[in-house]
Amino acid sequence: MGARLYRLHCSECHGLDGSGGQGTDLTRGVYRFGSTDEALYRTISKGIAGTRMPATTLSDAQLLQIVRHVRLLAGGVRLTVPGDPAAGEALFAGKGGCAKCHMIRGAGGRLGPDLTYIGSGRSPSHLRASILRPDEEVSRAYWSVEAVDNNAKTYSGIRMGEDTYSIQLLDVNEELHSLAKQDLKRLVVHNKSRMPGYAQMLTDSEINDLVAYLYSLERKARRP
Amino acid sequence: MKTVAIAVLLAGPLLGQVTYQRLLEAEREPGNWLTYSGNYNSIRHSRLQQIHSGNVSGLKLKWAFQMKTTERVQATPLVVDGIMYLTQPPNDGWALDTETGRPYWHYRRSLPERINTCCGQVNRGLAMLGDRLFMGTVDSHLVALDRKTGNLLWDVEVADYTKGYSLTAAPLVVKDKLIVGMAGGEYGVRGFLDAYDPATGKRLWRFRTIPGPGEPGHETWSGKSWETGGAPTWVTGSFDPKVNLVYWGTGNPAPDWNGEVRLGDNLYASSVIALDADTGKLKWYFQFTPHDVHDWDAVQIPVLVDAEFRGRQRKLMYWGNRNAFFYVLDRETGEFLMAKPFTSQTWAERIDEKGRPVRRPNTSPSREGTLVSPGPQGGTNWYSPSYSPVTKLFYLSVWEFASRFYTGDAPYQPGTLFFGSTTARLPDQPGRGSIRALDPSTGEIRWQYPLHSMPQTGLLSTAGNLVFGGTEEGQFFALDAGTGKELWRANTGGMIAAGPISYLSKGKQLVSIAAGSAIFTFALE
Repeated sequence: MGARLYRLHCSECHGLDGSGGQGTDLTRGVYRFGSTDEALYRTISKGIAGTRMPATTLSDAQLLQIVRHVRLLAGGVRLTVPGDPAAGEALFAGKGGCAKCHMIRGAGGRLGPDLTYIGSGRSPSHLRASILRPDEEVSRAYWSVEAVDNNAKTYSGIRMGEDTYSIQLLDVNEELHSLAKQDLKRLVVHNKSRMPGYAQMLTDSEINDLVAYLYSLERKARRP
Repeated sequence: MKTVAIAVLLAGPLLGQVTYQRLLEAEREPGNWLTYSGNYNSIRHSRLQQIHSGNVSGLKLKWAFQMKTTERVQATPLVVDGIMYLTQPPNDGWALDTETGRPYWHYRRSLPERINTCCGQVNRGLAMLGDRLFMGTVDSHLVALDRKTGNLLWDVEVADYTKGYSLTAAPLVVKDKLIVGMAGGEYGVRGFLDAYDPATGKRLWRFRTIPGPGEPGHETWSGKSWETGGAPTWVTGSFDPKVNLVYWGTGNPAPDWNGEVRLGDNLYASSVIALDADTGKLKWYFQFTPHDVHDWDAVQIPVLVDAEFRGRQRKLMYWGNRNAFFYVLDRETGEFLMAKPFTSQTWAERIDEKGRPVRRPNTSPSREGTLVSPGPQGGTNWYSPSYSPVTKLFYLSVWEFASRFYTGDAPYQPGTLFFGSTTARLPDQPGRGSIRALDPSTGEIRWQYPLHSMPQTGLLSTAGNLVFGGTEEGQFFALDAGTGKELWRANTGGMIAAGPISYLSKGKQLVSIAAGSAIFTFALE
């Protein structure tokens, strides 16, 4: 019953095997919003505000069955990946230029997502896809923005927030701006990433190393 | 990273960054709100005067920002160069555009399932240095966030939350250190005040508010009661750079209402401590309530004022204490200068010439219950007071109520409440509240603004001759600072248990207050 409910309600984002995709990799057994049964129950029931994880109207019994199934998925699943994490770390800081935009443990740039715990939230296949084809799935908080205000001042960066009347962005110099749309003569928001695809920039072996490094960036378990 | 942080301190501020120099000179930039209390002297006075007693009636809502929390919002936001940084309880963080209230980012923190906090999973705010924001968490961690993205930069454990330690106060940046207080006085913790390296989270010093064996003051605890004696540091203190002292209030000794198991004065509980900012060494202390058995934490904010007192210019500390007395101390030496009740009290005949209370008989908790005023929440509490250099008045939120204090057994179990019995309010006497203005040179009440309920609001005075505050029922009001006359109010619809702030956005003065689970910002039309 738990497996059926999981397929119906969870697998679209978290993958049939729980290895993640649009949603977090559930096979690791350690989750950002709590790893106990109670925390999982709460997360599945109430969703996580500000993320794609929605609240549900499932019954208590159904929620508990899903929790049990997530536990099964996390039962020691540890994917083996080819590649050398140490070489991947060197690529991240060096040839790959990843640290220009991504932060890990407080070091790095701000124009891309923080990757400190990315290995706990994404499967190796998802990480690989993100490196090779970054435009395939881009969080709304990282869409590109190009704006020109009425004084001909231009702004280029990532879109942190937006409503009918204003847009908030972090520009390529890592400065924050909140712009009133009525003061803009041009505004273009692309649902594309500012990150280049790395298929032509890194070898297959280097991609493996980079994936191995990112997959190794795990969140340590908290005390219950 | 440390090199980077120091370079920032030396190079001068970039827009949006906070340096120690900016914190030192915070009074020169009233368009921002750089620390929990606005600046190091914690007077919570804004020099802005675009909004004044003549036009405040035209104040209108500019924006509101709703947070997703069921906990009480007790936070004072920071405002730096057009960006507001605030916490959503328990331990999320937000950066908002001050012009629109729209968010730039949201930091989400996952917490363990079971947290030991006596009084809600609250948080009172952030500190900032360079490009970093700092927050204490209810699971007793200290975290650093990137101000532009909310990215977590480091996360260190301060104490074991399973034993009842938690962090709810906004940290205070002093020079190149982060001063951090803790909570847990109702769980039999042993209190401390810490300093951390803002670059790495490494602990630099710890001052234990209960002296250990061999240390002066240890003799004020009977038996092993010092090990579980409380004395937490759960509200942000103040700093005087000229004498290099950090001033911080300490909370109640534990167990709260059974003093028999902790005979003695119980130093340094229910006191103010003055510590060398560099070393954390104790310079002086003053204990407001020796052997406190009524839960009268001295966690009020030390208000630092240079003024004449009895014909002599002095560096003073004003303190409206939970025990119902307003105190004036010399903050260089800790010398007691004056105390006078600012609300009803039945427990002390007087405060003697050394500042020690002369207790009335039969006011300690008893098995059958002892009626004492004020009750356990005190004559005031952690709610930020304000001092106006314009009116030279001290403003505070006041409670007037009594409770029956019961004593009882106090078995200590780590991570469980350690009260030693309970208290009870009188059902037919719910108590009254007010905002009061005191003349700090005499302690006399100059005016009061009566309230239906007992307030939990912090106060803000402004150069526009105003005092802002709020009510339990959610009315946010502005009073004439000289007379207490109500000049304006707005119904936010949510309990106000936080401090208002004022600042500039695009050159225009705004006033913000947390109410319910939202923050409301007002401006003149």
